[in-house]
Amino acid sequence: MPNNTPSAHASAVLAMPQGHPSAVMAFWFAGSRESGADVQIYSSQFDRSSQSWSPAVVVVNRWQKSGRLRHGLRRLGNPVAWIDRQQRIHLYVVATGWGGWAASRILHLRQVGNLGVEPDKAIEFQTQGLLPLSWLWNISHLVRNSPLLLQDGGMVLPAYFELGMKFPLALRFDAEGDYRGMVRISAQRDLLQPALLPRSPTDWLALMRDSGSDKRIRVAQTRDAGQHWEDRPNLLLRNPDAALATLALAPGQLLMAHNPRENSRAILDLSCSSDGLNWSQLDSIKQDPLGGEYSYPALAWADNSLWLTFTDQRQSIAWRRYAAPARQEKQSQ
Amino acid sequence: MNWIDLFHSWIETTGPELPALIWRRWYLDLAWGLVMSAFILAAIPRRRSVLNKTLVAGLTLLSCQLPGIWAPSYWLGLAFQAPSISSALLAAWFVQRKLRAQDEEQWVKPAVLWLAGLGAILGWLLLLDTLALFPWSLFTVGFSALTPGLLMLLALCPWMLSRAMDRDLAWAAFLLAVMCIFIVLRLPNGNFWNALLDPWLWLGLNGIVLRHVVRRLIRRQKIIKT
Repeated sequence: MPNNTPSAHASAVLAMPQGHPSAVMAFWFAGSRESGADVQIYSSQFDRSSQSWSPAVVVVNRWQKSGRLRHGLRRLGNPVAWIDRQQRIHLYVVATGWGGWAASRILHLRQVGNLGVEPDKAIEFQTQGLLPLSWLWNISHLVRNSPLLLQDGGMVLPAYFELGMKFPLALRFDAEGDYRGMVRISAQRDLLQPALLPRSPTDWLALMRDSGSDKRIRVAQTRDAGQHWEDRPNLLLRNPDAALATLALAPGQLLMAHNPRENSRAILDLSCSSDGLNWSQLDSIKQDPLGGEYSYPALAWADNSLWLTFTDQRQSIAWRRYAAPARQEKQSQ
Repeated sequence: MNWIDLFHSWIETTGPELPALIWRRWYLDLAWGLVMSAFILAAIPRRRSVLNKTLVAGLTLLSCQLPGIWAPSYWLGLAFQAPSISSALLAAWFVQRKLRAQDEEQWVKPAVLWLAGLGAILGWLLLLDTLALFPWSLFTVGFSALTPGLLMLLALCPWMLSRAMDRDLAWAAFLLAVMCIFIVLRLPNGNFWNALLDPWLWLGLNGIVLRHVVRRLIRRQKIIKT
């Protein structure tokens, strides 16, 4: 962790292309406290040759990035990353207006240049603008989980609304990273942070954090590649109103990192499934008998390994690497 | 392209054309500058000279060109994004009237009431849509190419069908101007609803409608009493 950043949260991990010096790149927000004025988006890369993480660097500073918008950004959080067809990294970051997280907007940034040219050069992001997602001052839309990649090179970015009520959305982007519209995932009013899980090119699940009283992982399904969604029965797995992460390695090989207890984020598990509805525990990633917090996991697949990052006690970002098949290889913080 | 493809391209909402960031930045400063000028001029006493009013309006517009946090538009944009084209045009119209020292006129005409009523209803629908209280998304319809034309047609129907058209041509021209600016520049954010109506304007329209309703009720009460 960089100096003077006692608080860190909400990491994302991005698999880098073959041939790039780094295997994965992690993003997270850190500062004096969550929602602090000094919170910035940090990044670090795992070098393939040295097998180590690079020092964390700031990639999004709210003062710099608001300059290109000509208006302010009050707080930053929840980075999500994606690589487009031109090998450019896109970052989607929650940026609040007046008010807390419920007054958030989604800031879109894109890498200057691309990963193919001068791969050793420091990655720099340029503001593309705020995504236009609602009429009401464009407020209260957030992102958290990684996008679902489409065969045409585009992607679907899961997002959610949380002003008073909470409902999930799927935002569609083309292969160049241009916004192409949105679809609501569920008619329920207490679901957020959807994690998309493809079972086939057209059959996807959205597993969601439950802010209601059920305390279960909630489910919606689409059978037409995200054009229409319908609610499905809850999973048997419990959810303490906490984020979860999913990853489809192949058809029938689905993974999920999640907090399995109803009222605590002290345990973080890795589970596997063949259909996305019935899950079994693969590994207990972390447990804190004193009731601490291991939360907000993110998953990626690179170099024949599963990469996992997560928030450790809201103070740092921890990571694990599982070499296939599901064997833990290394751990560090 | 055949007719079916052409029609589909008009109604489809999956290919929003967003304005370039440079246009958005330019519009944010200009629109907030106009709106602020209108409010400040409205607060200035009538007896002030035209020169004074021009100076105030000019300085207000210029203040929005100041760098970063020094520009009022920086903070207004942080809270409310950019005003709608309608708000910006109304503000521009108000400012020019003030600067030309034209007499105040009774501008709450039947045409304005009709538009205010439509705008108030539209705003309520958009607010409910924001909270996902409809099974479909009204907001995404604002990205469709067909929406501006259809909406304008609907709004202009009363003028076309009545003899009020010759008297209220200015309001028809105003709506057409909003539509044309949006179609060419896609401001403020590529969605027609945001170009037509912003939440502050919507609140104002609700106020106009409410005032009219209250006055009518009071008048009716008086008639009943007498």
